[in-house]
Amino acid sequence: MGIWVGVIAILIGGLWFLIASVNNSPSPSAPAQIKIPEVSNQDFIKSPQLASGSARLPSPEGEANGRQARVTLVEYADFQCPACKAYFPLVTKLSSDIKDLRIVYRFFPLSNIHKNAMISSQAAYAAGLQGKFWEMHDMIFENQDSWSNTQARDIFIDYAKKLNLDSNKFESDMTSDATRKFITQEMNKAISLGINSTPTFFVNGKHIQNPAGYEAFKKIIQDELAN
Amino acid sequence: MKNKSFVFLLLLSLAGFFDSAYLTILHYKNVIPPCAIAKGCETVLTSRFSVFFGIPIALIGSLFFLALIFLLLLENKQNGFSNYFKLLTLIGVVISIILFSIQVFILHAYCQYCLLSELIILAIFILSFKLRSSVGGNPDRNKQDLCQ
Repeated sequence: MGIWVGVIAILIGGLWFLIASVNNSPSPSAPAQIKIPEVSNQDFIKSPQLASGSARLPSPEGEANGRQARVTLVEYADFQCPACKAYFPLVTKLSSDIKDLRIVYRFFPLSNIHKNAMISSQAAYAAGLQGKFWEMHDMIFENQDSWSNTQARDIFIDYAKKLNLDSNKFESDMTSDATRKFITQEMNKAISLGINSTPTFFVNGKHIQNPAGYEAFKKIIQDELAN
Repeated sequence: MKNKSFVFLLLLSLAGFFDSAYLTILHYKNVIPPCAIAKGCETVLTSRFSVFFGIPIALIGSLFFLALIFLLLLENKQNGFSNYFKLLTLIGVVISIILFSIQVFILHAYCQYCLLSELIILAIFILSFKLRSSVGGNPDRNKQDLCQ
């Protein structure tokens, strides 16, 4: 009898530890000390100093009148991720409420679980090449349910038309190797740094736990401003 | 001898209960979990298979283990466990096999907390079966039990 119990206990314990060591923790989080790449003119930035809808910047720090935003919020996101969509209105509101804040979007498409993660990233990038990254970003997130589980390419071309983009150039950019390469490289760099989930936020380069709500998020930004 | 096995079963049921309760709490807390690369617990716990007609499987599991604990404390008979207990554990095993198969064949993701509760149910099932035949000793007497 005791033998039975012992054997079963060992089986349970052994299997459990095996699977637990193979798995990441139940709630994925990147390590605290991650050094993400500096914001550059290759990034997609939204800043109060810029004209709305600006994509990349003409110069590295780039705000039109030379004054830098004091706090930078970098978000690694996947357009098909429900959690990213949940944070989308919060981040949008933050950027309009806080004058000294600029937000940066970086691509992290989780293609293995989201079939349209990559194409949606390509669509946003292509729109960015015509100066309307944030408009497309907003439209993609707002309509996440419409395109997530279906053939999305034509839907995004339709968005491009709604945004008055050159649809031929858009389609060509969306499917180009250069676009895929940019997105893939951005993501691989993030993976190599230990980022493994979306959304992942960095405030002035520091990784933060995803805030519980708008007020919590705002407080984090304001605390950083106060320093 | 009987007391020792009773304690083991009780402990297993308690462990199963705490494991399921933990998952139930996680379910109601993580309303929108982040999306992860690794297909592990998040994938399993937020999959469409994690709820049964709106009720989280983890909650059903917690109630299942509570029922086991309840039956154990109530019965404590000398000649093995009632058919209710055995039936409950059998149902538990069948459901565990289904849930495990979903993880393997459909989700291709495994959550160690789910696997733990499935193994506990299996252990309880085997133990209660083993106990019954060793306590009774008389095959005819066991047959009588089944016909009740």
